[in-house]
Amino acid sequence: MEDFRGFVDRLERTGELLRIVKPVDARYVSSLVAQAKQALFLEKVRGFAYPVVSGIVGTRKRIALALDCPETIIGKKFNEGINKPISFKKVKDGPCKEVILRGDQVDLTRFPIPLLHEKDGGPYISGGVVCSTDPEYGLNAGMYRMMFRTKNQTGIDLVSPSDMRRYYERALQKGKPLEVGIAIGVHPFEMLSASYKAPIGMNEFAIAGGLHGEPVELIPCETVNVLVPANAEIILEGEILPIGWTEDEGRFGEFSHIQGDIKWNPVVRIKAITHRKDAIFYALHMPWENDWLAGPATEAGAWRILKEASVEPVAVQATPGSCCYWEIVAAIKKRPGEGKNAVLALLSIAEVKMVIVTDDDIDIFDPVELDWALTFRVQADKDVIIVQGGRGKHIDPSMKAWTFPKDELPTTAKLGIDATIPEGVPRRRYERLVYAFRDRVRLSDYL
Amino acid sequence: MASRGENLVGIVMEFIKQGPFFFYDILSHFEDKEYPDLLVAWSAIRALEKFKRDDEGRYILIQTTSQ
Repeated sequence: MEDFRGFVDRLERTGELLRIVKPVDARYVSSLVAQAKQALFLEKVRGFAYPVVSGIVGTRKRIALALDCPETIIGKKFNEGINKPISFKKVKDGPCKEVILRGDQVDLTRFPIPLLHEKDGGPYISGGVVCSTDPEYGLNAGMYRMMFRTKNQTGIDLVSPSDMRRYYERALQKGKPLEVGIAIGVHPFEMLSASYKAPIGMNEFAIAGGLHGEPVELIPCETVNVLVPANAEIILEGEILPIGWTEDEGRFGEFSHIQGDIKWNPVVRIKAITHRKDAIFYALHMPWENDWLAGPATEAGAWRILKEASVEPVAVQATPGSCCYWEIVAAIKKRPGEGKNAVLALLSIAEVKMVIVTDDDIDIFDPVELDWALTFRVQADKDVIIVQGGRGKHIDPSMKAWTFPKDELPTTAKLGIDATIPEGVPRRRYERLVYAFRDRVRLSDYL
Repeated sequence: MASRGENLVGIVMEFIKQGPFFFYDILSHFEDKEYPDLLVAWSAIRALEKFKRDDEGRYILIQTTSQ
């Protein structure tokens, strides 16, 4: 099974990863990745024994490489993992156990944890898959940012509703810590699955197994009762202390591309660290790696909901400008009325806020084509749907979530545009111009 | 024997007293110091739990009234 470094090698072979051999100051990690057209492997980070890799899932192309599919169907491919899950396999040994550090040996300052953004509250572990177990619901995995606090403490952002938050609340009610294992440096399939909002009780590693085509191997932690990916580069074992949402955490540059506010969150105490002897530290680069980890799940949801609505989609895109989260554009093979049905179906997805639906003759990945469809196939008084009071996400500034009462979840207005050929307008009205003799002449013959 | 990072705790705390500052400001001000040493210093400073945060998220050292 391909693991983290197997994928890193594959990115390098396809020209999607650049190795930097000159020593790099950890201050500069995020800016270097932001300037690069490829993912980066920083072989020498000054003062640290571990190299840094970042940007590996920072584009649609790299996500498609991971999923081994054309870029236009990453959502469909992700659905295959959801539809054919393969349960994990528990193993007794794995590369993540080559080095085991406990007690006083636990020291997060060994790792090149970078400061990613100017106004972040501190260095951040941004690429960890956090695993936990609940006696009723079983194993859960999700990706949560973790702010470095001390050599054996981090923050963790559990403000938004999530399965991890629910597990923590259940432990907190009993006055107990929630045991966690944090896997840093895992395959994109594990990260994609952990980023997906699976129904509680559905195992994210089974989805990853479905994508791999074989079970993910999980291994017990040394000091907590949690299973973690055996081939991870680094594992942090610890517990989320039963203190509630009381300690400063953040600020952090969010997946919305906006510098988020300071938050109040619990604290994680690290009890053990295990890692490969030549471990690579993975620094997830915000916002794009976060955005593209969400993209397949958003698009997978769109493919599924359109099928449920008996609409035939031919292409779906969670747009990068909406962080692959808030806007969906879809092209459909339309029958009368299905433009509107498709819009309504897509607007029902989670916090999706904007939807455009076109006919199947429009390349929805071409912004010029999309604008053309919006220009000539939309009448604003007939083809624009606004839904008020839908589910929103508080980090959208236009919602003014700071004015809401504490603990009240925000709502948002949603916008859908039916950009399909209006009923009653013949398709021939959109007959495109065709250049004369286009098939008979080639510019290359004249150069 | 204290490490290089632990030896930075005092001067970093003196700098933060002039704050409020972001962690970025500390890294910028002490650009001649190695990042791993500043990480160790920051760990020791945070462990003292002598901070509050302003509305911008900057760190303010809580100074004792006996000073």
